[in-house]
This record gives sequence, C-alpha cells and structure tokens, in this order.
Amino acid sequence: MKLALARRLASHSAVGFAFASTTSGGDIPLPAIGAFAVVWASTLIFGERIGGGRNVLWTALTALALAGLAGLWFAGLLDLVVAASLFSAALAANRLLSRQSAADDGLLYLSALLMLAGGAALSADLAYGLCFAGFAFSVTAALALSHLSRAAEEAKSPEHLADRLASPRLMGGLAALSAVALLGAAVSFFLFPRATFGVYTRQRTRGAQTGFSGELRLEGHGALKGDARTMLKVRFRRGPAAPTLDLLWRGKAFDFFDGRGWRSTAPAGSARRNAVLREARPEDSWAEVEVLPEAGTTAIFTAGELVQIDPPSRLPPRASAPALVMVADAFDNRLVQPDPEQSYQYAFRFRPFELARLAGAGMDYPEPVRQHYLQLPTDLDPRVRELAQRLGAGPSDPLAKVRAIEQALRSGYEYSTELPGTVADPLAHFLFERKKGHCEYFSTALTVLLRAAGVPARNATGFFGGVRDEDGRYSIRGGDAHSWTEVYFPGFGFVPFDATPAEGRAARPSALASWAAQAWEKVSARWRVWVVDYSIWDQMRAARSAMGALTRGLERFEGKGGIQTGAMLRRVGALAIILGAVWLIRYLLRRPLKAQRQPPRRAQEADRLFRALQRRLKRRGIPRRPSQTARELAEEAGRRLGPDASRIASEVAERYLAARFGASRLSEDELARLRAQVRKL
Amino acid sequence: MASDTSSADLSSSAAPGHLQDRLRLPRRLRFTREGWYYFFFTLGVGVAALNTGNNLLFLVLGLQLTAIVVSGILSEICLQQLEVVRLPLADPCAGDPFLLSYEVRNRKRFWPTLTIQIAEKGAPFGPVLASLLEVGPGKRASASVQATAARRGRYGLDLVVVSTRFPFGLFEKFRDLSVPGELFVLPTRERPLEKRARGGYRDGERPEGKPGHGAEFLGFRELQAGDDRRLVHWRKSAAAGRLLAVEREREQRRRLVLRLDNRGPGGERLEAPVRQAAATARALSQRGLEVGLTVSGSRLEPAAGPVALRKLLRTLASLEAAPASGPAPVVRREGVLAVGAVEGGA
Repeated sequence: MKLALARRLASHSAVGFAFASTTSGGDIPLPAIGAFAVVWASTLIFGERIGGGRNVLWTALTALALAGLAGLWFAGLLDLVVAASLFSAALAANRLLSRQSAADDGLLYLSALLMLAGGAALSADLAYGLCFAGFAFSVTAALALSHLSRAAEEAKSPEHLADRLASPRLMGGLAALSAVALLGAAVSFFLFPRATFGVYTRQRTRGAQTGFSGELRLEGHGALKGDARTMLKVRFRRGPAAPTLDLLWRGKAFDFFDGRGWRSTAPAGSARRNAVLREARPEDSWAEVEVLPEAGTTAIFTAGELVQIDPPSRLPPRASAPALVMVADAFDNRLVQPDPEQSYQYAFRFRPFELARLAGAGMDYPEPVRQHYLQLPTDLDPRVRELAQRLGAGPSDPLAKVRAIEQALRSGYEYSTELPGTVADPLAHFLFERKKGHCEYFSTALTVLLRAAGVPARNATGFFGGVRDEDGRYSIRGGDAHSWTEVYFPGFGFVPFDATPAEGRAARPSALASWAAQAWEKVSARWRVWVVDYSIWDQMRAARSAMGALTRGLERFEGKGGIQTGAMLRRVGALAIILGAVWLIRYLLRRPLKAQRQPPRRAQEADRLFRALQRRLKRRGIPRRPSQTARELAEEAGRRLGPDASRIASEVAERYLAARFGASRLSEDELARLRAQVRKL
Repeated sequence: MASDTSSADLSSSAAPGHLQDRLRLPRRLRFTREGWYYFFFTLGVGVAALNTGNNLLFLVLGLQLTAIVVSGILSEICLQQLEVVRLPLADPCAGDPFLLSYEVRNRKRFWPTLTIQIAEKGAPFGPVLASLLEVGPGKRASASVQATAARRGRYGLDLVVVSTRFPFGLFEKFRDLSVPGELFVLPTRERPLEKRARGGYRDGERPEGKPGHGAEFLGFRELQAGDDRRLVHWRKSAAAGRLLAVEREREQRRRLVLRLDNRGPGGERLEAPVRQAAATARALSQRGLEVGLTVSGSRLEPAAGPVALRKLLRTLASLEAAPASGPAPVVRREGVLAVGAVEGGA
C-alpha cells in the first residue's frame, strides 16, 4: 500500500469519527453536518489537493465561520460547546482542504481532538462510545503514518522508498499499537482519580424525543413506528400481567393550538418531594418505571388515574450527584430536576379510569379551564366548526359528545405515517381532504373538534402499550410514542380519549430491528454503568475489593504454613531496596562507553576470506607465489584441482577483488556462504 | 577524520567519568511544536474533566495520556540495541563540503528502528543530521549528510547523538553515544605559492647511476628468483637464450622543506601562511617532490606520496601560533621555501 494513501485513509477515519462524535448528541445543525461531509468525502476521494492551494480563501472562510459562531454565541442563539465544536469542525475542514505536506497534519489531529472533547460534552450515548473507539483506533495509526510521511518528505526520500515503509508488517504493528492505545485509554480511564471541583459545568442536553420537547408541530414526522429502542422499562408490583399492555403512558400535555401545532402555556412548576393525589385503595396498581436516556426527556410518565407518585432517583445511584426532585406544573406535566443525565426511576400508584362515573358530569366548567382549554385559533377553518357542530349536535352529555366525535374519527379516517408534506392548514387538510394521518393528527382533530363543540380538552403525548420481556418487565419502545386527547370533566379532572385507530397505536418494529435494538440496549446499559456513571465510589469499591482479595490471598497463604504477612512484606521491601541500590551503583559506576564491538569491516573481511582460500590451497600443495595475482591463483587452483575447485576459487577471488578494491560489499550471508565453500576445498 | 572506523553500541549507556556526567540521564526529551500543542491540550482536557466530572472527558484524557506513554515506550525501543559506526573519509578542507557517513545496525530481533537522525556533538560544523527512515530488525543501513567545517583544526569527535520522533512526532528523544574519533579539517584550498626555493629545485627526479626502481634504463641482468615477471625483456631474452630482466636506475627524489615561521600573535595572521603552505605542499607533492615542513619548535622531514602529504597537511591543520620568543624553524642544507613569515618572526 502506498504510504500517502494509508495516511489519508487513517487520518480521514480519525477526523470522521471525531466529527461523528459531536453529532451523536443531535446538537449540530444539519447544514453544518452536510457541509463537513462534503469536504470530508471529496478530500478522501480526490485527495487533499482538491483544495487547489487556495489557502487564503479557506482561511478567510474559517475566520468567517469563527466570527459567525462567536456572534451567535454572544447573541445567546448558540451554546458555547456547540459553537466550539462547530469551529473545530471548520478548522478540520480547513486543514483537509489546505494540506500541503505532512507537517500540516498536526493541526488537523488537534482539531479532531477538540471535536472529540466537544462531543464528550454534548452526548453520553453509546454512539459517542463507538465514535470514540473508532477515533482512538484510527488516530493512533494516523499519527504514526503522518510522522513517517513527514520524515520521508524531510529526508527527500523517493516515493517508492517511502511506500516500502507502509508494509503489511508495519500496518499490522500499527493495528496492534491502536489496540494498545485503546486498552491504555480504558485503563487510564478506570484508574484516574475522580475528583471534581466544578467551577464551570454544562448540563448535557438530551436529544428530545418528538412530543416531549416544548412544542408539537403537525408538520413534523412524528415518532417512527419502526423505532425499536426501549424508552421505558416498567415493572408492576401489583397490576397487569398480560403479555402486552394497553395503557397510555402520559408524559406531557399541551393547551395552546395555533393552527399548525401545539405548545404549553403553563408556567414552570414548583418542586414537590412526592405527590399524593387521591386516597389509595387496596386494589390500586403499583408501577416502577425506569426512564432510559434514549427517551431524550426528563418527563415523569404515568398511566391511568394517578393516585400517588414517589420521588424519582438515579439509576444506578450516584452519591456524589445532587438529589432528584419532581417538578409539576399546572397542567400536570411532571419533570425530573435536575437532568440526571442517566437513567432514573420512580414508582407510582394508579387505577383505571371509571368512565361510567363520567356520565352526567355536566358542562359547568371553571373559568380557568374555559380560558385554557377552549382556545382555538382565530383563523380556524370554518368547516372544522361546522363538523364539530354536526358530530356533537346530538348528545347533550359531554361524555356522549366525546364518544361520538371519537367514534367518527376512528371510523371515518385512516391511520398513515405517509406524510402529506407542508400544507397551509394541516388539520383541515387531514379532516376534509386527505383523511389519513398519524396519531398527532387524530388527537389534534379530536381536541379541536371537542373545543369547537364547547368541551374543554387538551392534547397529550407519551407512549402507548408495552410488551413483557423475559425478566418480567415491560418494554416501551420508541415506536410506541403516541398522542391522544385529554378531556375535562367537572369534578373528575382530565380523562384520556384516543381517536387513533387501534392499528396505529403500538410500535411495529421488524424482528431484525427488535433484535438489533435489544443488543444495542444491552451494550448501552453496560456503557452507562461502566463509563458514563463511573464514579469515585466505584473506584473505591474496586480498590476495596482488590485489597480484600489480596488480604484473603495472603491469609490463605499463611494458613498453608507460609510466613507471616508482615514479615513477608518486610522481606519483599528489603529485597526491592537492595535490588534498587545495586542497580544505582551499577549505573553510577558504569564504564565510559568505548567501541565495544568492532563491527566487521568489509575490506578486512574480504582479506580474511582470501587468506583462508590461500591457506586451504597451500594445504593442497598450491602455495601462492609473491607475484601471483588473485585471479592467477584461482586459475592455477582450477587447473590442478578440477572444475569444482576452479569455480569456488574463482568466485572467492572475484568477490575478494570487488570487496577489497571496489565499492561492492560482502553481505554477511555471502561471506558465510563463501567461507563454507572454501572449507569444502 | 581518524582513519579507523569508530563505532558504539547503543545497548549500553554512554557515561563519561565526571560525577555530573554520571548523574546525567541517559535520555533527553524535547517537545516538538506539535508536542507542545498536544501537551497543553491534554492539560486543558484534564482540567475540564476534573472540573466537570464528565466521564467521557476522562476517557479522552485517558487516550491522550496513553498516547504519551506509548510514544515514550516506542521511541525507547527505537533507540535501543543500535550499533552506530562513523565511516572513514578523507580529511576535508575548511570551507569545502564533505560527506559524513554512518552505518547503523539494528540488533533487535523483532522491532524495526524507524525515523532516526544522527548528529555529531561538539563538531566543528553546524547541526547537520543524517536521517534514516528504517533499519529493519537485524539489518544494517547507512546514512550520509553533507557538512562543511568553517575552520581548519584537529577536532575530537566523541559523541554521536541519535534521536527519533517516532511514533507520533510529538516528542523527540535523544541518546548520546560515545563514538570516539578525530576529524582533521585541513587548511582551505587556494592557489599554490609561486616562489623560487632557496638552494634551487626542479621538478621530477634525478637519476643516481645505481640500480633501483626509477624510470630510466640502466641495463640488463639475468632474471633471478622472486623477480617480477613483468621485468623480463622478451626480445633480448629470446636473442640471448635465457631470461633477461630490465634493470632500471635508482632515482633520487627532489626534496623541499616549507619554512613557516609561526611565532607571533597567531589568529588570522597565521591563517594565510598556513593556507599558502598547504596549497604549495599539495602542488609540490603532486609534481613528485618530497616535501617537508619546518615550523617553530617542530620539523617534518621531507617525504613523498599521499601518506606523507596527509601527515604534513594534518600538521598544518593543527598548527598553532608559537611564542614570539620561541626557536626559529630549523633549516638544514636543503631546498627551502619560506612561506608567508608571520610578523615578528625571525
């Protein structure tokens, strides 16, 4: 392989992994990802010379990027770490485009390291771990190959000689070196003391799952039904035991509809240690919920009619981190604070809604409820109001109205995740033209139609369902993300209704996707436990267990008649001191280095070889006369001893003359072979 | 350069006799520019990791620290079990570029030695580096570098510094090796002096009328045992019926002594006569004369041939100014050519 090509592959791999690590948190804007990908791919395929030597242009563009990013940061539009990561990417792109020699590679790798450090602050997912491993593996080889390239360039070594360096042996060695670097990084990681002083810290932002961010847009694509990643793990202390659940796991509710989407106008909630909402009954269910980082939220998900919630806690516990509290707002949206940046768990007591009790609840709504939950956009399509009046005209009871509209939507509309693209009024388009949509369209339609019919309602998001695993827990996956409607009933509060057809509620991952997701989850769990949540307590535990194992081993040794531990330690210590002292004395008394081994001089070796030939021939009765040249001696030996002797003597004579008087050196192998030939004479 | 090949074995340490030298670490380390960047960045990541407690930053820090450790180990392996030989070469003249060559043998069984540089420590020329990209395990390789010595003189070359930036180019590790040797930098080449010698001389050689190995014919004699067969005159031998050898006349070489009075302040005032003496000696030796040198307190008897000339030039290379009160250069009954007397000399 050519050295330049090997270096380019390795350096692009390193830079690619570093950039990918910054994107794993989902904070890097798509245009930036696209621009970097174009530079990366084009310089990989066509070589760095694609930059065309327009270094001034690339530097100016990088400076422009720096100014723009600094401006966005000052304006508060961009996070500092995101801005720094983007600048590092711009710097790396600059170096890729303006590379002229291997001496330019240093800054490239430095910017890649900057990106990797930025990625560490932006994401804690397993994806970052994979990027890190890829980076560690490739950057070690890239650094070494760049160094070799630079040395070859500085020595003005011909290209074919430099390419000989990139031998399979060297490549194998570099692969081993990369593995050692990765292993060393792991060892350093586990051994480095975890002491922190926390002058400036940055909360890592979670990539919000659709529906759990601040707003819900109908133009969005919604959660993919094929997403098999587990978001919640639920264990029931008491409650359902069926293989699949049909529960709605409520995470967040939205009250304000602007015609294109939903947002919440509730002010931030206040902290509560726990919440007891209703009087408990013996038949209530208890659920323990673990929210995984993949959910991308800090929401508290609950099901059914909520009775009580216990305070959340980190999973696994982290003694050094601040305690988690639950915060709830006026719309019953509950969040965990501060962001635990890891899994968290909580338990809640609930019971199924008793819909029969809702009949005859009446429509005497309190003013705050009317104010928030009957809101409609001013430019609402008049056909929506007409439809609401038509569907809700019959029954006077609000529950009957809800049932009528819900049933009309379920039966008259189809579930589809095929997106209509951008339309001016997505709700009207769904209700009157396309008549197909995903759960957010159904929930929005039901909520808006109920509001138009004078029934207070709001849009809720969360998950639907759950499948029991082998360990008895239920997994709720990304594809289970769902949206539905909550309707207010005086004296009861909000009760969920779901207009989405049954086939559109639960996740539909393929078998392969499920298998891959489960494997990913297993590795992710270990990644979180062993890396992301690794703490000084883990180090202390490991140290204690190591000491315990050592002590037990020594005690076992003593029990088998060995010497006492203390005495043995003293002896080992004394031996170490003696050995150290001996080494020091030897080091200080070492002799000045002389030419310790005179290496063979080629001329001398040639002389010795020819003298050996003369001795051998003399024994055979052919002494060399003073005037006789080496070739004449060989000829005479040939004449008198036969063709074999002639061949040997001639070869020795010729090699002797070439080595003794010419520039041709005798290699060790050749010397050994000729000596053996002479011995045969 | 000393005629013998000088060598050192890197498997043992160089240790001059003084205690200070003994306590000196066997390796030196220098940060390259990239190494400084890397160091400060590692420091920054370490501070950030300690500040935030972000485990992923500790992971990055672990990788960076490992790279430093691996770099140290590999560079050490690179410099171990190397045998360095300074190859002999002709004495260079001051101001003339010459080639300095080394042969490196890697005595490691499995590990190659990559990207090493060899430099002389305390040499009379600037910092020149002979580079070697690779020396395979158990293999030899040679490297040369062009150097130019500014001033004549006799210089001791004691230490060779072998360095490497392998594997990452972040740090440069040096190892001193004792490779004893000597370098004679001869006086600068210039045009020979055009002067008549006292006592007169002429080019070539003078026949003496006695048998010898000169160019002139003296007569024939019978071929004796041990004679070179090339002396046989075949036509005469055929005519005489026995082998006759050509006998040639012995010739006496012309002798000339260069008189250089080096008494006085020395410095640059001595340099011009030394250069003239060297140029004249080269020219006369090339014309076959036996050339000698007499200076204050020392005398080099006239002799011909390249070995004698080298001896004379080396004497001139290391010639220093003698005290003004010192003895005058000794002159006998011979051809003498005075070369640029130093002011104040006799």
